[in-house]
Amino acid sequence: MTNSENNPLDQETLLRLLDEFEAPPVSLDFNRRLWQKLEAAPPPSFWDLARTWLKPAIPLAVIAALVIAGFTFDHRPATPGMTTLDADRMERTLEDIQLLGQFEKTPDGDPAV
Amino acid sequence: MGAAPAIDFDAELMLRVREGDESCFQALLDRHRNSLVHFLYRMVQDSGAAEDLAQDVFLKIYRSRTNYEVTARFTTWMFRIATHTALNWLRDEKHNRRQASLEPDQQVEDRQPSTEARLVQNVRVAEIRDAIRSLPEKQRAAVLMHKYQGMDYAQIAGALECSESAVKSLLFRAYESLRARLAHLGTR
Repeated sequence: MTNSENNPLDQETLLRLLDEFEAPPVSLDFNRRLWQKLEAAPPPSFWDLARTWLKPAIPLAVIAALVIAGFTFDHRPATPGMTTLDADRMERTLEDIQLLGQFEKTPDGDPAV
Repeated sequence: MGAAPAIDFDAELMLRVREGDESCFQALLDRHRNSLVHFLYRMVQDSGAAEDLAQDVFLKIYRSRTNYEVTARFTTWMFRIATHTALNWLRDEKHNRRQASLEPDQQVEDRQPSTEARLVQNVRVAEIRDAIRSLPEKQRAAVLMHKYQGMDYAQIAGALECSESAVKSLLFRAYESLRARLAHLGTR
């Protein structure tokens, strides 16, 4: 066992020891070098600025999109892909088929009643 | 250190920087330059690198001004960026960096005659530096923020992105290691 293991430091002494580890002073031209770098750096892009301006509007835009999507979903056509014109044509075709069917049932030469 | 106000003065300055007031950035620079460079110096133990890293931190702060929002104390945010920057540097430098002795400026001082006391002091400081450098990186950052920056547990937790109980654990283990390693210095 060494002496140090027998007598561990108390926290106060440790903190006093750590005070001895001083940092060197900062260079006098620190600010000048930094401003040179800042001036050389490109200005914020259009998209950075746009993102900043639009940021508060994003939640509103999301809500509006959800409302429009919900409204569109609720008011979609009952049979998607079929228009009123198609339905009319189909009805007429069915009537024609029925009529032709009646012709086929009558004997040859006798006109249908 | 008292409880954090709703919005601290530094955050107000940063909000003005966001509005385009560059004089407020200069004010932030003047207020925090020294503490930031000193923190980074003790983290990486290389004075040139510490200043370069501090400049990187201020550049990052300036570049993110347009997106700045007050979510924590300004210093917590600043030290979070600084810690990330320092840890990245340490990871990059790990392979080619093996400082076994004092930095050159201190070695020059050692050669001066009639400075035995200074020599002894330099050896003590070198041992303290080595002890701090031997700590795991997160423990080191926590100790430096706690001891030299006077940050409380909540601020350190914010900077290290961990819980306050994790910070307490980091600090407990770090101080314990330092006490064991530097015990012989306390007896002199």
